[in-house]
Amino acid sequence: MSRRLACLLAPTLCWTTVATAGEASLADLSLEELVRLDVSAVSRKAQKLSDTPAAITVLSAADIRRSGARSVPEALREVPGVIVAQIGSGRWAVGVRGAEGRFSNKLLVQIDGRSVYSPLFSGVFWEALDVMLADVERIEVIRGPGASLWGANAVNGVINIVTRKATTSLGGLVSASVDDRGNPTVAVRQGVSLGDAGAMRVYAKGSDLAPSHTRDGRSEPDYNRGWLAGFRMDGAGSGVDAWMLQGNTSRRTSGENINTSSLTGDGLLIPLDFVFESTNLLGRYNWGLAGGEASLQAYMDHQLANVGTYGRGTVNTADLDFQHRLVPSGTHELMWGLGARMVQTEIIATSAVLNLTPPRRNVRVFSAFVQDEITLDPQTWKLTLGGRFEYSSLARFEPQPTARLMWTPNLKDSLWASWSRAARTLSIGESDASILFGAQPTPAGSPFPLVVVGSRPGPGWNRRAERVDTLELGYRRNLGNGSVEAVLFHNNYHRLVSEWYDPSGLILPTSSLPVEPFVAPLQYMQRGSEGSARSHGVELAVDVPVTDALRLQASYTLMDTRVRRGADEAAAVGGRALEQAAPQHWGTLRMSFNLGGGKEVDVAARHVGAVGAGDVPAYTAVDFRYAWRVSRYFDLYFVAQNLFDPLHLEYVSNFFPSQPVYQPRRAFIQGVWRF
Amino acid sequence: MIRHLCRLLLLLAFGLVGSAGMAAPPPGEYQIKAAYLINFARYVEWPSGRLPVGGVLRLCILGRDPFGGGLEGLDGRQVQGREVRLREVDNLEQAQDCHLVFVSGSEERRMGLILRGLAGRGVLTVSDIEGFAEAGGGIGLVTEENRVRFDINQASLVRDGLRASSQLLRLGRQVLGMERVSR
Repeated sequence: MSRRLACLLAPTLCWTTVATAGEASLADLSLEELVRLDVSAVSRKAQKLSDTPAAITVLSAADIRRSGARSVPEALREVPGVIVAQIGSGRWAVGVRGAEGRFSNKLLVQIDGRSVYSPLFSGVFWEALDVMLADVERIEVIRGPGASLWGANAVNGVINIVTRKATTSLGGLVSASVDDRGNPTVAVRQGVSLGDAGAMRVYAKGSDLAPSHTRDGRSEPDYNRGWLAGFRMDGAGSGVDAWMLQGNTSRRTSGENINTSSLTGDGLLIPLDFVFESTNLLGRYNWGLAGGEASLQAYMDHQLANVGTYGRGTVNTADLDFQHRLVPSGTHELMWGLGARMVQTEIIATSAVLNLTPPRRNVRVFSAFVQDEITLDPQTWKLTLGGRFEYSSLARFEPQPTARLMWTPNLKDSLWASWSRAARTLSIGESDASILFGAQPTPAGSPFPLVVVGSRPGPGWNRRAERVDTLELGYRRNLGNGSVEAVLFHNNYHRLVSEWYDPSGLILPTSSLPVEPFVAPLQYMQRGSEGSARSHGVELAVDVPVTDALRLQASYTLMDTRVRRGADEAAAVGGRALEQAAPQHWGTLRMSFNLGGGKEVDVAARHVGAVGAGDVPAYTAVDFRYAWRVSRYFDLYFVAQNLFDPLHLEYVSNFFPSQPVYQPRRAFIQGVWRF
Repeated sequence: MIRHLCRLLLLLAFGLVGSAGMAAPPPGEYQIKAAYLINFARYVEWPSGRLPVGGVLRLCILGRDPFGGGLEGLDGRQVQGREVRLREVDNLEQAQDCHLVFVSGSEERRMGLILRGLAGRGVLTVSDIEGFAEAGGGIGLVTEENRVRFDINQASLVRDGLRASSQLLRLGRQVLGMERVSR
């Protein structure tokens, strides 16, 4: 601090010190001197990405820490194109380029190569997903179709959560936090060296997350608690051949209120409790093959979701994945791979409200991908052609191609354009379930006072995957220690799953119904693949160091989703659901201050536009974080969220008719010990 | 309320810009990294068959040059009685002829391939790609708390017949694969 003050008071003094350490003489400095030399400005990851013809954002461990996030969705809030809304205690709606929802079905999420996308509901159970954030090395967010490399369901984006190698997480860590209402989170990790064999860490985490509030800000309509335990082993990091083995087991229980209509038309709240259990084991081996590099990965995963008294779903997955990157020859750089996945699903409905035919499915998926990166002009023009070919016993063959052209006229600028096609396989729920939602009053003058509404697959439904064609144009400028990025995108969706009123009208059931009022006419909604929509938008991101002590990061997304013009009513319904699913614009601004002495202050503001579905108004939230590195062994954080906002609604859960929940001001204090 | 806060913070931000504008910056990250490269050439010993005394030490950059001309001053310098010659290479075959290869961040996606292609050929690999030494590279440059430090993978160096001086090993932030060597 005093040195800085001296520089401010007498700039000439500082000039001289710099001159002596100028360019010509730097090379003559000894190693000892170099090690102690301060850098003016540190370049960031942006540089490494300048080579990639796709809209990629990488959140480093430091980015995650400074965001004050305690969960993965929170950390994603500042990524352009990604919209995150809290819809309950530990419950999130995360979408990329629109398509937001409780189960963002067009977004693939993977942890260390293991998919956490549930084939039951086509989406991620964010409330069941828990990770040791302290051991996450980075989160890669790829917007736009990633299908050619990652496979089906990477329609609007892929999120890869990559944890640290065990060889870099030696030693112990205890992280404990408590919020303003006394909700605790505790995580412990111990890393040990296995000598020549490598290293291993074991960890465990338990948390009881803060509840949301109701509109009046008083009662607490939900909860989410549970634990996670696991290990990761890595081979010694000295060779180029590497192996890794990891396993996780977790259990979470969460509850919320479901809004139902009653006979009198008043809303009735029914509590719904969930139990999620998951266990998995994953191994990976990298080795040299034919001069190139190969990797083989295998995992097994068991998931169980118990939904109140309604039913229970289990998913067992076995996955094998092989990839081979060949040595570049001439102008070609080739990569290919093969994959096989067996998925066994079972949904046992314990209430007559839900019915699945068939209740059990055995799905086999075989896939192959190939990608060729062609250098058209050394260091300036590159063309990437790729495709994934997937055979699934549940769906038709869907080729997923991509073509990407990149121009890098100099070290700073890169311009790229791409076209890709991706597919989203239907979920088991969408394809097989019949559900009775409950009674709804009918308009005056109707012969019946109320009808019971249900949803079921339409007759003769050809269950093909949803499809999107995407065009993207991106520009990136590397500012040395900062970056500017802009991406334009256009999505054309086909065969979106949609629902419309059964044209045959009301059915008078012959036996009594499992829902109130037990005897009533039935109106079914039919499901089919009739929806179509288009969306386009722009994503902007700026990251600039203003001074040594202050960094500014901003992101802004503007987008529009519309039903395709000329679409018939059935098509319009599916498109409209997508149109209403996300705000049309949102932006974030973060100021990160380094105060010296190991103290950091972060102020982040975000504004999110209104969402059509659920009539969610626009809101602005400001978060504050103070961090103090007390010693080499101890860090202390203080975080306050929603500073100027007593209560706001972020999204209305759109899968179950959940009670809308509001987010209050929150604060927590966290200590992290390393030893 | 929020608008006021934003205005206040912006004022604060620009206030800091103004003050920082007066103080001249210390050397840039890549100037320091360039200085490291020449130091690594000083403190690492190549097998005499690979690099004879009086020969030319080829220092190469694989991929896009992030130094922005900052390496030019190194060309023609004398190190351990050898002349340093700078070269930009863009494929593995060319890189195999070099003595010291700086793997640019642009090659991050090919890091595994590159390390495999250069293993056992008496090439000292240096890079600032994250986890470079961990992944089997020779020396990884790491920026930590505004300083550039380095990690050495001693097992990789030994495999490639390179000898790092004790001074280099002492100043490394982390030396990987040491147990293996001492045995």
